[in-house]
Amino acid sequence: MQEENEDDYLSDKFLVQTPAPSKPTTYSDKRKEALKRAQIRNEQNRVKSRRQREVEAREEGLSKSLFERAAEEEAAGSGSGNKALAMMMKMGFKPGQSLGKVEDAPAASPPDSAQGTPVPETSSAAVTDASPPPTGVVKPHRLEPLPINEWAGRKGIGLGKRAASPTELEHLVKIAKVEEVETQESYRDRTRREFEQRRAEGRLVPAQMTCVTLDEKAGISFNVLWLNPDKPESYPAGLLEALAERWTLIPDPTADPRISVQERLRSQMEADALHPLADLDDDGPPKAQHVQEIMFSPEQLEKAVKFLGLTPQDKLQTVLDYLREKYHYCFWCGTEYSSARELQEQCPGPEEDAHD
Amino acid sequence: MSKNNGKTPAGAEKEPLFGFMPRNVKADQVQKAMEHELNPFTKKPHSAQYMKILAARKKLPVFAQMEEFYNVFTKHQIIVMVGETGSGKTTQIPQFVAYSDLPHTRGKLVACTQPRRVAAMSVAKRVADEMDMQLGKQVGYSIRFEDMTEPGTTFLKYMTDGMLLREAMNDPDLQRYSTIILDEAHERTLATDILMGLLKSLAKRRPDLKIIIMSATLDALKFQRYFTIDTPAPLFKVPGRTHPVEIFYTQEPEPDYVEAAIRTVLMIHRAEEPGDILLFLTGEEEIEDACRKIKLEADDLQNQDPESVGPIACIPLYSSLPPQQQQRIFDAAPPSRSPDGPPGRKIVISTNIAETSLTIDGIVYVVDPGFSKQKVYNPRIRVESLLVSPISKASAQQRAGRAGRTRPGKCFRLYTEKDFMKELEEQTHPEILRSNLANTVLELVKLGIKDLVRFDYVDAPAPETLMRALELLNYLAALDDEGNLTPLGSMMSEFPLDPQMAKMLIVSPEFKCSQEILTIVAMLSVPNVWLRPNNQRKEADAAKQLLTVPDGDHLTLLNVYNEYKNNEYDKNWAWNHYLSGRSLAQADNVRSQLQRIMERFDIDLVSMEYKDQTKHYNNIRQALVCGFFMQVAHKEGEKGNYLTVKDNQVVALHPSCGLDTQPDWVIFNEFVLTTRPYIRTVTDVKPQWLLEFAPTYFDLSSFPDGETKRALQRTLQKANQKSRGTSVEDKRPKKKSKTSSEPRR
Repeated sequence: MQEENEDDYLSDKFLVQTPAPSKPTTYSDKRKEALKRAQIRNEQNRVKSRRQREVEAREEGLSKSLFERAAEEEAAGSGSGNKALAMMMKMGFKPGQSLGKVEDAPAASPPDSAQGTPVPETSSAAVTDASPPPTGVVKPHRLEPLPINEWAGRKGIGLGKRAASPTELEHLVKIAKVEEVETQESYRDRTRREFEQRRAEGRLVPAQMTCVTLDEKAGISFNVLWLNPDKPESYPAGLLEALAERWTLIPDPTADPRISVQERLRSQMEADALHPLADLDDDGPPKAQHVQEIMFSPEQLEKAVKFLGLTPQDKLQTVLDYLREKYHYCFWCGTEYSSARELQEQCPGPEEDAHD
Repeated sequence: MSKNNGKTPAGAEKEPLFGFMPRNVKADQVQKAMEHELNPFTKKPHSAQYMKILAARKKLPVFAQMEEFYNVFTKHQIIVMVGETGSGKTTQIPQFVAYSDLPHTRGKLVACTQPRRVAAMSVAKRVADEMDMQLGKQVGYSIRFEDMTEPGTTFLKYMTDGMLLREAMNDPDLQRYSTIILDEAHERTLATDILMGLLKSLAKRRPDLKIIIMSATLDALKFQRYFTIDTPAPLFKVPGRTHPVEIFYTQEPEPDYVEAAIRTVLMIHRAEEPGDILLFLTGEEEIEDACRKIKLEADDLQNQDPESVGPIACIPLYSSLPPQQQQRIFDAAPPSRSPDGPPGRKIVISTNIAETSLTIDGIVYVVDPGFSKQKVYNPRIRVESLLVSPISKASAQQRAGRAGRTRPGKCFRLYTEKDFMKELEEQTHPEILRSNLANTVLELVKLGIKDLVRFDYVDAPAPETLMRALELLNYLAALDDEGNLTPLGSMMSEFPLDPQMAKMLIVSPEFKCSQEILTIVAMLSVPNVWLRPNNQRKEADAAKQLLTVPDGDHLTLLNVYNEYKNNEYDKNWAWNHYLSGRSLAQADNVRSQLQRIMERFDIDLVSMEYKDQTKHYNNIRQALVCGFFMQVAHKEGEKGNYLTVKDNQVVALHPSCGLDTQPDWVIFNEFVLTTRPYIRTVTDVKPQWLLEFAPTYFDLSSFPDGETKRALQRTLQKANQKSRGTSVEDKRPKKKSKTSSEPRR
């Protein structure tokens, strides 16, 4: 009866009543409420879930060997010891050993001698007992019954776990460890990725400057590799408009949507920006001319979009590869080599790591 | 043919075995004898069919190695043989041996064991045909509850491994046999494993006995090592008739293997060349469900695109399916709908019985999700778990091999290659590690094996499993405290039954119900008698309700059998009441076999059926307690939970249970772990019976503390008060308790 009353106190009815009269107003109130609810739910589960009780009883039963149970019963002084175990002992069995033929009988002799010897040796004898007899047999015989495998639902192989039926504590410890490793790893990974990204962004600026210099020296007026989303001044006039137009016409599903939004905004801002009056006065006509001069081909636009969609690391790599290919210039050496061969011979390699 | 052969010696015309030296024959001699117009063993002319079959036999891979076989067989006592399925070893090797041993001339037999009853029967039939003999005469079979041999005539006997083990109980040297062949040893059944241990030591005592271990996989190396006594046993290899199988893995683990399996089957059906598909799933429900889904989807596909997608036939296969439905797997694939339309495809969806036991020709594609249901006994809580678990690498290879029986095939594994390497165990655990050993231990003790601890196991079971077996046999008084077989134990071992049931049968006359206990034991020894077709569950349950006895499922089984008998063993009656006529007929057969054993031991067949039904049922329930007192559960609280006695496992009554109330104490036939822990086949018992008929097991001074102990103490107090109050002797005759818990002499 008492049990039932307690159940009532913890039941849904009770819960439904509390939140109704005054809705929690502040965030901390809500949080407290949620915590309380979770706690109550836990409590309820503990009282009610038969399934949980089944599992707990099973785990407890499986975690203790019959030898341990027999020893406990004997220690408790109840009964005259386990008869089945006594029979097995009579056949030469000792708890901790496996069944089966013993070839060289190394396990059989130590315990006799161990009786007269000091304690540390007994323990070492016990260790050798537990290990398989050192014969040519490939697999030792079993010491423990096979675990009960409980596969969770219909998960395929690789997703579920083959239970090794560890004790509950072992199990918890293991889970905690695995989770720890997982979170640590993911944190480490993330920081590392972010760090590399920032570093690449930093390196990209000088690399692109070199590229502009060398390109201009070679008489190239525009190269998509000059573009840097963080530096709007790297965009030649008209490109943003052209890009904006292109984006509105053909939304590229492969391009990073984040960037396209940024670009569109930027171009929008540029278009909407107030132009200084001086512009109109002085260089107005030539600039307009200039804009008309540089017409962007669809291929160039395509290339620009692709390049802008790359990660900073990949952008950097593309620029560096271009420099090596076209000008035999190694960014890490800081040297323009005269030929591909010289580059090949004198530069330690395309990677930064090779330049230490 | 041989008549006109000038070289044939004069005696050979009437005597095909002329010039044969036992254990020293040559392949060409044997081949000549096989082609002789007289049957070498019966001296009757061969039929036309014989020659036709012989021509087919000659094409078997093993036939080509006859000479090599005789060379090895003549020289060695123990041979380990590896041959893939389809090599013909199961049918041919025993015949080869017969030609060499000539057992019929010496009153001996050649035995070939099989792990499964069906295989023993069907192979014996096949071999009888091949040898042009009548089954049950020279060639016979012996399985539990069915002996198709003729003593004195039969010289080649196929039998289940369990039967040979039982024979060894009374003839530890197996003197009747000249050669023993253990077939399908790779399946590592409990009986085969024990037999290997026995034969290994027997080989030393009987140098004239030849032993052949036949296996389908490279486990053979393990057997070879095991059977290396002084010199290593030779390994004799026979190539199989298999084609290459290309194996595909998934890129990622599958979140739902059933769904993935269905998808893969449909993909194959749509995109792959003609050829039948074999899909492995784990159980009846899963299989029927997948069958329905695949059929629906495939029909859709075909309606959308009749030009390129052919019709399908989806065929389920699992062991509880009636045999005529199992036969459907041999049907041809459905024909295409139009003369030049795409061909049809047969899709067999099976449990792992199609992995080794059954061969389906025409399979080209295998879909393997990597799971099967496995039975594992755990001695710590005495539960038999039947759970879905990953298969072994060996199993996966076996499954893949099924695709290459008729032509090169493909196997789609629904897991990654990495997980195949990492997650799957090498071998399936042999049955001896997964079984309750009570029965086996009793057999071994009867055989005279005293030292069960140092027995030469191929794989030794967990020590705790042996401990449980000894404990049970000791409480049942089959073994004394020293581990010696008691006369009662010796009698129990003669029954091909679990020791609990044998015990119950032996004590039943004291409760005036041996007829009834005999029926119950027979009914418990056959497959489930209840039919519950998917689309008629309600009707089936209603029919079952009519036959249910509310006091216990054991009594219900008794009632079903009696009704069956009253209705003159009518199959139609069974069918109309949603009962399996086959199981009932089998139960009747088992019953008469057991009755014969009882008569041999002068166990009275008595009944008091028509006197007082309540008392009658009480007597039966008391007799049940005498066998199953270690399988008791006690109700805990009001919510229908039960706790198993001593192991304290929280269990529920199985949904099939017919009890109308929830009694405080029940005995159960099985404790299984499936989706939940269940006790199955349950009967209401009284706590005072437990105290009375199993005083050692329910000795309260050594009983673990808890609610169960307190309840038993209350019962004891009440009983004491009562007996003091009435002062008259209790109505129950006290004699019973004494005799039942002690060995009968």
